[in-house]
Parts: sequence; C-alpha cells; structure tokens
Amino acid sequence: MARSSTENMITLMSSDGEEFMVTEKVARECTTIRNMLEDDCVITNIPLPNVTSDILSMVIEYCMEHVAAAEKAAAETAEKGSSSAPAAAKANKDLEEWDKAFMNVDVYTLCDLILAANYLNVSGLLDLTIQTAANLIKGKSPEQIRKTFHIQNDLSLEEEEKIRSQTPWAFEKSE
Amino acid sequence: MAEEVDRLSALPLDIKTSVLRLLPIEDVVRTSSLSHSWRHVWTHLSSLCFLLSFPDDPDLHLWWVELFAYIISSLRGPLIDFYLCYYAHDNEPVDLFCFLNLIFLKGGLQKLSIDNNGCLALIQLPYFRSLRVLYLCHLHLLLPDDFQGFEHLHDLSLYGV
Repeated sequence: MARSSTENMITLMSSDGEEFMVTEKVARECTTIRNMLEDDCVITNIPLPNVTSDILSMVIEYCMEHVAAAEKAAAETAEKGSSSAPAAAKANKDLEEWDKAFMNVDVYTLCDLILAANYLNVSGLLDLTIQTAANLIKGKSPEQIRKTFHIQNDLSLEEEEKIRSQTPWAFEKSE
Repeated sequence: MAEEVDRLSALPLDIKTSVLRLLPIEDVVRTSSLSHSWRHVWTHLSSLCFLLSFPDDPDLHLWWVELFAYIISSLRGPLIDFYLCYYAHDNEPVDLFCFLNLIFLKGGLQKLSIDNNGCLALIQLPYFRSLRVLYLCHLHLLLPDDFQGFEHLHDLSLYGV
C-alpha cells in the first residue's frame, strides 16, 4: 500500500493524560483497538485508562517494530516476486533479537507490560512477556523466585515444610 | 527501595496460569510454596507438561504413579492438554496405562502428546472420547477393546507408531 503519507492517524491517551499519535496500522496491532475501530471507523481519539504513559510508549514501540518488520518482508516479497528463504530467516532472527533486547526490563515493568498486552490484546507481546516471566521461574528455588518478584513469604515454617513434604520431587532439582 | 511491590502475585489468575502453563511440572508445583496466595494457583491449570526419565526400579515407578495420582486429583477442573516426554528402558517397560487411566477417570482430555525417546514401547490407550488432538512418537499402540474411533479427533500425528 502506497498511502502511508495519507494514512489515518489515531491518538491514544494514557491514564496519566499523555497523548500518543500513531498510524492506524500500528494501532490495529492491538486487537482491542482494532475492534473499536471496526465498530466505529471515525474514532480518532482513544483513551486508555488502564495504561500509563511509560508502558503505553513501550507497547507502541513494540507494535511499530513488528509492523515495520512485516512491511519490510512484504515489500521484499513484492519486489522479488517471492521471498528468499535465507533473507526471511534473517529478518525473523533480527526480530527475535529485538524482542529479546526489548525484554531486558525490571520485573515491575514486565508485569505492567503483561497487563497492558492482555488489556490491549497484543497477542505477540503477551506471549513474549509471559514467556519471559516463565523463564524467570523455571528451575529456580522458591527463595530465588520470591527474591526476583519481591513475593512476601507469609507461610509459617510448618506450612512450608508440609507443602514440601507433599511434593518433595518438585524441590529436588532447584535446591 | 522506593518500590518493593509484588506485582506478579497481583496479576489476574488467568495470567498466572498462562505463565505456569509454559513450565514443566516440577516448576509448576514448586510455586505452591511461594506464599499463601500461590498455594493453589497451579491447581487451576488445565494443561500439564511432564518431562520424565522413568527409573528402572519398580518401587520408584510406583512412587511416580502415586505422585501422578496426587497431581491429577489436585486439579480443580479437567485436564484438557497433557504432554509427556519420557525415555523407555528396554528391561523395565513402563506401564503408561495406569497414568493415562488416571487422566481418563478425570475426564475431558482433548489433547494428548506422548514422546518416547527410548526403546519402542507398548502403550494401551484408554478410550478418551473427547480427544481432538493426538500426537504419539515411537510407541506401539494398543487401542481400547470397544474402540470405534475418536469422533472429535481432527489432528493426528503419529511417528514410528
């Protein structure tokens, strides 16, 4: 599509009142917004009371990167008639690397991103953030997990001992 | 520290279970000892992933069966998706039927995947009537006695079966 210069712009407003101008294509990466646009196509200003400006700017950054990657792949396919497999594989790898670097955030930001991705229904970002959270739990002892996520241990020693004795095999490898 | 807030525990239950769904069973069950609020989160899961190396020792095998029974009976709802990756030894074949029968008794299984990386092993399948997806690798399959087909099955992958 060669109408990028005239493409509709949408304004997204964060919970703290900051406005973000994005192309409709980027906004449509959020299924929640796509549904709103399909219900009412003249809408240009969307308040997002559940998302703060710092998290919203990250979600937009993610959507822009993924839209740009998809456009680049489509343009290359159109130019050459068919996409070359090695180029596509490299583009995929680059995007994966970008995702990985994007996930280099503290656990608070990670949890806020999970909530925002869930609310805005950005499936790629939701999968990415949930996988990142799972990686922080995998193979770790309960103490390590509590430390990572600042989880308060409100179990008594007896209760914790009881849980461990019910399923000792679950604790063997992580200690 | 300005912020020592536990955001993970505050996430909605369905998000927490989506995180647990990506983990092997040991990691899943281990979260029950994090805090009171995590005590039963894992029992809301409807899909489980087991990566097992079954021991040769029959006593230990029995121990696994008991543990498996504990896990299945702890789940609140039906187990919909079950993935098992194991290694079959040739001298002490594992009777997977007792495992599968526990899932069968629970009811509602829709997706079953069993990956055997060891010697070709015999597997007797209970009659999972609600099964939609079946994946089996390197197994000798015995069908249920009264088998008349899985009427809901739409995805079947068999490798070396």
